[in-house]
Amino acid sequence: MVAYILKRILYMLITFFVIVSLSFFAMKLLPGSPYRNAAKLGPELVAQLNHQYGFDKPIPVQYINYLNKVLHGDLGVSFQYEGRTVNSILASKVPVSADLGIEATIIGVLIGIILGAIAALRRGTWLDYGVMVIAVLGISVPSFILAQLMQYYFGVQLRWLPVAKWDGIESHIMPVIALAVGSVAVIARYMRNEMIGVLGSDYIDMARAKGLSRPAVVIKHAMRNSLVPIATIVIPSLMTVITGSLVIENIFAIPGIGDQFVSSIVTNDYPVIMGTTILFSIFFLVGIFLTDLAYGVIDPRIRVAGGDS
Amino acid sequence: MRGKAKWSVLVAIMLVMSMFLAACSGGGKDDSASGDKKSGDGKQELADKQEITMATSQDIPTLDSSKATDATSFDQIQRIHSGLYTYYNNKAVPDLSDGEPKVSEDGKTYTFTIRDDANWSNGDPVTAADFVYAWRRLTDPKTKSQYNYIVPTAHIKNADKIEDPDSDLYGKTDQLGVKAIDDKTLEVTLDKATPYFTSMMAFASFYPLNQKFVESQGKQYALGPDHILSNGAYKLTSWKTGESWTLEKNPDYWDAKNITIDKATINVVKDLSTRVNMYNTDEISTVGLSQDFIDEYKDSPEYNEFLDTSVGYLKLNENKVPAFKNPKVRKAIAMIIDEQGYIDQIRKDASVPAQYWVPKDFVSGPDGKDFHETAPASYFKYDPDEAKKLWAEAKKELGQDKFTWEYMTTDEPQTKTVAEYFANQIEQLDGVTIKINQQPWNNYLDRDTKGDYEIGGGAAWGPDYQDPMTFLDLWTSTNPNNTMGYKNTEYDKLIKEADNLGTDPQKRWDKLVQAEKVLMDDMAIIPQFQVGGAQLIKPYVKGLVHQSMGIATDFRHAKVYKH
Repeated sequence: MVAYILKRILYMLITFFVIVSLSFFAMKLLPGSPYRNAAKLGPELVAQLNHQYGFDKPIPVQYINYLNKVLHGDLGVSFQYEGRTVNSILASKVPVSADLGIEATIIGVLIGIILGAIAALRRGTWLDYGVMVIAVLGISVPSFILAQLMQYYFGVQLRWLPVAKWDGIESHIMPVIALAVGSVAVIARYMRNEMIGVLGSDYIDMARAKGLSRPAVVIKHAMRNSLVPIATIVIPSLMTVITGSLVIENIFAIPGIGDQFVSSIVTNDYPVIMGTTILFSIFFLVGIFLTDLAYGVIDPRIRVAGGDS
Repeated sequence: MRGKAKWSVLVAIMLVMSMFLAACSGGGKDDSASGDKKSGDGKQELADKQEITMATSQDIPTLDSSKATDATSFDQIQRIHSGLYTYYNNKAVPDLSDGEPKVSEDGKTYTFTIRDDANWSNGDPVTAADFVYAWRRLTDPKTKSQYNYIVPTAHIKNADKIEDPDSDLYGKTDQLGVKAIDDKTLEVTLDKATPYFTSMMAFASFYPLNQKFVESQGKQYALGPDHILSNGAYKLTSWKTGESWTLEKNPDYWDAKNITIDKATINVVKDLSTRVNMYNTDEISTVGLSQDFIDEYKDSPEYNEFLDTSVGYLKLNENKVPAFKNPKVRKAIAMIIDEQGYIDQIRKDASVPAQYWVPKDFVSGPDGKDFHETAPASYFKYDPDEAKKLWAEAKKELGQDKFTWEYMTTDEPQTKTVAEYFANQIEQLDGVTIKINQQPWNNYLDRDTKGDYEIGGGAAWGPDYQDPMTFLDLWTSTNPNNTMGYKNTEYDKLIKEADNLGTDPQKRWDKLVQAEKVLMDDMAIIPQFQVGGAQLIKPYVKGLVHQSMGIATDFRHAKVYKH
C-alpha cells in the first residue's frame, strides 16, 4: 500500500510538471501582449516594455526563470490588476468558488442519492417517473437558463431572494441550486441504476431471508454497495465546480475564480494564467488520487495492492 | 441550439414583462421622473440618506494614477484624487489650481499656484513637490507606466528624451520640465507651446502623489483603503476585490460644500441582465444599456441618452489590397454604407453617423465654436447611386470585375452581427464578396499592428486629451497606427505645422481643419459612427452626469431626493 501511494505520488509530480510546462509554452504561443493599454502603445513602446519584463528573451530562458520563481513560492504579479500578486488573487477568489462548489456538490449529491434510491425502491411507480423527469430536465436545461429564471422570479418578481452578489446565506440559495441541479440529475440516474442492480442481487435476498428489517437492508447493504460508482463521479465533479463556474458566477456577480481564469487568458495575463493552471492541476491530480483511494475504503473488494493480486 | 433559442425568447419575454411591472409600480412618481425641469419647482425634498449605488462590469484594475490606463481606473482615481484641473460637464476647469495659471509670452512656461486649502487625507498639504514627484514617477521608465507617452504628448520639456532608450537623458527624470518654486508654486516648462496644456492637467495621470506616503507603502501602494490617500471629493473606505468598493465624501476636500452625495457603493456585476434586474429591484441607482435592452426601456421616463467622443471606423489596408489605393474605391465603400441604418437596427443607442473623423461636441476652437462648426458637418453622405457610379468607374480603371476582401473584426458576441451588417452593405458594390474573420482582441491588435489584414473593422478610437490632434495625428505616414499604407505628404505637412503653431491657436486650428479635409477627401479611413450610449437613472437621483471627458459617470454634483 505504501509503495503504491509513493508510486502514485511520483506519477503525480511528473504529470504536474508536464502540465505546467505544456501550459507555459502553449501560453507563449498566444499572440499579443499582456499590456492593458496595448491598443494605444504602438510597437516601440511594447518592445520597451517587453524588454523591461524580460519577454524579449528566448522562451526557454523565460521558462527557466519562471520555474525558478515558482519554486521560491513567487507566482508573480498580475498585469490586469496592477500590483496584485497572483497569490493574493487566488487567495481571495478560490475560496469563494470552492464555497459555492462544495455547497452545490453536497446538496447535489445528497438529493441525487436520495432521489435515485427512492426511484429504485419504487421502480415503475409515478415516483420513479417523477424523479427521472427531473433528471432529464436537470441535464437538458442549461444552468444559466435556470439561474436567469430563478433570478427573475425569486429576485425581481417575488423579491424573496437577493438578485445577485455573494453576501449572506440567502444569496447562496439560487446559485447553489442552479449549480447543483446538474449533479442531482446525474447522480440520481446513476444511483437508481446501481440500486436496481444491487436490489436484485443474491446477497440482498440473503439479508432479507436472515430477517433483517427493510431499512437495515436498504441502508446497510443496498445503498452502501450502490455508492461505489458514485464515488467515481463525485470527486471529479467537485473538482469541476470548485474551479469556478464562469456562467453562474457571472449571472449572480459572485467574485470567484471562474471568470478570472477566462479573462486572464483573453488578456494574456501570463502570471495569472500560470498560477491558476498550477492550482487547478494540483486540485485535479489530488482529487483523482483521492478517488482511487476512496474505492478501497468504500468497497473492501477493491484493493490497491498494485500487481500483487 | 433551437431549444436554447426558445428559452432565450422566453427570458426576453419575461424581461419585457418586468419592464411593464416596473413601470406600473413606479406610476405614482411619474412627475418626478420627467426630468430636471420639474425637479426645480421646490416640491421635492432631499432624502435623508445621500447614498447611491452603482454597478460596473469590471473590478478596478489599479488606483495607482501613474499606472492606470482604463476608464474604470481613471474614474475611481478622479473620484479619490484631484489634480490642477478637473472636468465638469466636459469642460476642464481649475480644481487644485488657484485660478488659471500664468503663461509666459512664448507659451512654453506655465506657473500654477496651488490652493491653500488643498490637503491630503492624512493632513499633509498638497504641495508643488507632490506634482513634481508624480510626473517624474510617471515618466520614469522604471515605473513601466503604459500611459507615460502622455507626458511627451503634453510636450513637457525633455519627456520624450527621458523615455527614449537611445537618448542620453534616458531615465534622467530630474531633467523633466517641472519644478517646485515653493510649496505652492509649480512651474512647468514645455518643449513647445501647447494650447491644450491646461485641459491635460485634468487627466488623472498628471494628478499629484504624496511621495512620503507612496514610498512608505512600497508594493502595497493603492491596493486598498489603507494604502491610498485622498485629496479629492471622495475617500475610498472599502474595496472587496472582485466584489465592490465604497467611496465616502471627503470632508476635507476644498470644495466639499458643493458635494452632496455622502456615500457611493459600486458593485462589480459582469452580466448586463443581472445589472438591469438589480436596477429594477432598486439595488442600484443607474444602469447602462445596450442593444436589446434599449428597445425595452426606450420609452421609460428613466431612459437617458448621451453622445460620446469615440469614433468607429474601417481601415482599408492598401498594402494588402492594391484596389484600396484607388480613391474611388474607398469613396464608393464609404458611400454605400448606410450608417444610420446600422444605428437604428443594431446599436439602437444615441450613436450618430460619423461622416467626419474628429468627433462633434468634443472640442471648441479659439473662437469658442465646436470644431465642426468651423469644419464641415459632414464630408460625405450615404448615397448608394453615387457609390455605384464611382464603383463602376473604379472597376474600369482597375480592369477587374470580382473582388474578395476579408473583413477582420473581434470575437465579442455582438461583433458578428455588426460585421455582417457592414459586409452586406459593402457587398452591394457589384462583384464584391466579403469574408468575415473574427479574432480575439489580442490577435486582432497583433494583426492590426503588423498590418496583417485587408479591412480592419473592430476598433474605435477615443481621445486622450481634448484637442483634434489626438485624432488627427493618428494617420500621418509615420504614426504606428497607420498600418494601412496611407501616405499624403500634404497631410503630414499640415499636422507638423499645426503641432508647431502653439503660439497662434487660430492659425493652428485652421491647419487642423484643413488636415481633416485632406484626410476625408482622400477617404484614408472610413468613419462609421460616433459612439453614443444609453442609461437608466432612477427618477429620484438628479444631477448624475455622463461625461465623455473626465469622470464618465460623475455624481459629484448629484443629489438624491425623497422617494
